[in-house]
Amino acid sequence: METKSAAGKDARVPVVKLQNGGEYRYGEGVPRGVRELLQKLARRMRGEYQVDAWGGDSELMAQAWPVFRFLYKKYWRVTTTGIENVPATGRALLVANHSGVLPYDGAMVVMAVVEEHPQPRLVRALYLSLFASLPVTGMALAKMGQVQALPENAERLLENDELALVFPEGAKGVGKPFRKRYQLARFGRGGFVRVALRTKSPIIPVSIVGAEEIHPMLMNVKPLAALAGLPYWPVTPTFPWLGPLGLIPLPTKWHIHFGAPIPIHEMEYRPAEEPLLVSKISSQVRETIQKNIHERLKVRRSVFW
Amino acid sequence: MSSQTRSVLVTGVGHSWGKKLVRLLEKDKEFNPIIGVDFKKPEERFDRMEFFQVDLHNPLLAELLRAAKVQAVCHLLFLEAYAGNEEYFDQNVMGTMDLMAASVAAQVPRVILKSDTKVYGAGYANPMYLKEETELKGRHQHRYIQDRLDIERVMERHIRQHEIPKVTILRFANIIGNTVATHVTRYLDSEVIPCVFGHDPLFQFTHETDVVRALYHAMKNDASGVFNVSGDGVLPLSQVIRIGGRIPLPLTGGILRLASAVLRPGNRKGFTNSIPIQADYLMYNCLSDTSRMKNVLGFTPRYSSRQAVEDFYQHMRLKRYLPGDKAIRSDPKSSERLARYIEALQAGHGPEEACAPDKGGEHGN
Repeated sequence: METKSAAGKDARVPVVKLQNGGEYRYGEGVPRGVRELLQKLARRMRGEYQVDAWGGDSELMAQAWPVFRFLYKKYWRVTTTGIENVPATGRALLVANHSGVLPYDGAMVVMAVVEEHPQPRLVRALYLSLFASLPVTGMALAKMGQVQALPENAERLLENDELALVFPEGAKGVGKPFRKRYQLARFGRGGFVRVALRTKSPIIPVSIVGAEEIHPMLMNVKPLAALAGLPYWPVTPTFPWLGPLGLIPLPTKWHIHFGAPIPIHEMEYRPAEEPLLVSKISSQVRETIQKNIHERLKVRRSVFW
Repeated sequence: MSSQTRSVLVTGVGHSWGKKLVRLLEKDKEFNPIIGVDFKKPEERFDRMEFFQVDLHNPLLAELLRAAKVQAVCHLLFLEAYAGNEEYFDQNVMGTMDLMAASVAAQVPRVILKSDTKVYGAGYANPMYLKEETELKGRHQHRYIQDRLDIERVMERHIRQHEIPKVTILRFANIIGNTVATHVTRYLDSEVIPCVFGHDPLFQFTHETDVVRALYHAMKNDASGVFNVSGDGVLPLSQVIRIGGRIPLPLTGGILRLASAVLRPGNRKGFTNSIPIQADYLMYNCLSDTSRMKNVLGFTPRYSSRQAVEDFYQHMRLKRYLPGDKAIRSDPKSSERLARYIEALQAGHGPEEACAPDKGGEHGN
C-alpha cells in the first residue's frame, strides 16, 4: 500500500535539458521497479518512516502482505463467513479458537478482515508473552502490528477503538494433541471477559476450522519442551523427521466464521456481580465457538477441500 | 497563589539541570527568593539566585527551609555513576534522605523530584505502556538505576508516612539534547552503536528543553503525585540509529550483558562507554504511559520523540565542524550577558550588577 505513494514522488526527479533539445530524467533507463525499490531502500536507511504506538511498521506489513495473501487465498483457500459481524468502526474483541501447533490462525483472521471486510481494518492479534521474549520472533510480530497478550495491552487497544483478537485457550489450544482436535481447551481465567466488560466492548466469537490439521501433533515430548523453554515440543508426521521441511504446514481447507457479537457493551451490572458474569460470559463464548465449529464440521467432507 | 511570590529551593544548581531550571525560574517574578544549594559552585553567575555551597547533609538545611519559608523544593542533585561509587551513593541516596528529613521538619509544602522511567525496568512481561503505579522492577545491576530506585524508595516511604510535604515525582523517558551529557546521549553519540540481535525495542525520548519546562510547570502548578514525562510517539532503536546515520553493531544479548557487567563502563573512553544502559533496555520495551502528564499535570511537551532525536543528531553532526571546547573563541552567552550589562548600566543601575568574566558554557558538568 505504501509502495504506491512512494512511486508518486517521481516529480522530485531532476530533469536535465540536453543540447539537442531533448531532456533526460535521472534514473531513466533503469527499470521502474528497481528504481522505486532503491528509492524506498534509501528512504528506509535514512529512517524516514513511522511506526504506530505498538511498533507496527505499515511499510514492512505491506512487504509481508503477498506472503500472507498467498497463504490465505491459494494455500489454505480460506472461506470467510459472517464478516458483516465485524464492525467497520469502533472497538470489538474477537475471540477465537486456537490450534495448529504454529499460530498461523491469528495471521489468517487478520487477513480475513483485511481481504473480505468492506472497510479493511488491522486486527491486532494478541500473542503469547513467550514469543515476546524470543529474539527475532518478538521483533517481527511487533513490526507486523501484533501485540503481546497482557490485559493492560488489550484494554489500551480497545480504549483506542481498535480490533483486538484473543485466543483464550492460549498455549493449551495451539499445542493440543491431534486426537483432541476441535475440542476447545479450557478458557484461561476469563481475563478477556473482564477486559471486554471494563472497556465496554462487544465480543465477537470467531470459529476457525482447518487449522487443527496443518501440523497434526501426534506427541508432545515434554522433557524436550522443558529443555527448550517452550510450552510444548511437537512430534508430527513430518517433524522432526524431515528437518526444516517438517515445518511446512499441510495445505488444508480453512473456514473462518465471525459469529454474531455478544453485546457486552450494553450490559448493566453491579461491581459485585462481575466475577459471576465473567465466568458466565466466558462459558457462553466458549459454547458459541464450539457450536459454530460443530456446524462447520457437520458439512465438511474433506480436510483438504 | 499566583499573585504572591513564593520562595523556592533548588538542589544541584552547580550541575546542568539545576542551572537550566534556575535560569527559567529567574525570569518568573513569582519565584522569589530562589535559593540554590549544591556542593559544587556553578561556574556562571545568576541574577537572582542565592547560592550556598553546602551538601544535602548539612544540618542547617532544615533551619534554612524554615527561616526562608520555602514553599517548594526542587530536588535535582543527582550524580550519574556507572560503577559502584560510595561517594555518589552518599550524595544521591543519603543526600535525598537528609533533604526529605529537613523538608518534613520544616513542613515544606511541596517537594519535586526528577526521576527516570528506567526505574520500571525493561522486561518482556512489561505491558506496552507502563502506568505510574506499576511496581518498580529496575534491576540492581547498574549503579545509575539502583540509585534512582533507592531514591524513589525513600520518596515512597515519605509519601506513606507523612502528609506534608506533598511529593511530585517526574519520571522522564530517555533524555537527550545537545547541552546535556546523559548515559543515553553517550550511547547514541557513538559511531558504532551496540544493539542486540533479534531485538528492536521501542524508545521514547524527552528533549532537554521539555525536561526543564516540565520541572518549571510542576513548580508553578500544584499537581502532586507521580508523572511519566515523555515526548509523543515511539521509535524503534534501529530507526534511531538510522536517523543518526550511525552503524548498528548487533551482538547477542549474552555477550552484551557480559560486556556491560565485566567491563564496567567507568572509564570515559572506548567501547564500554557505548553501553552505559543495561542490555535489558536494548532488548525489551520500557515505555511509559503519559496520559497522566497530559490530563492531570497539564503539561504538553514541545518535542515529539522523533523531533528530539532529529534535533539531537543535527547538533551532533554540526559539533564535528565546530572548534573544540579548548579553542579560543568568544562565547555567545558572554556577549548576551555583556549586552544585558550595558543595558543595565544605561538604565541607571549600579555597578554591583557587574559580573566576573564567564568561564565557558554549560558543557562538561
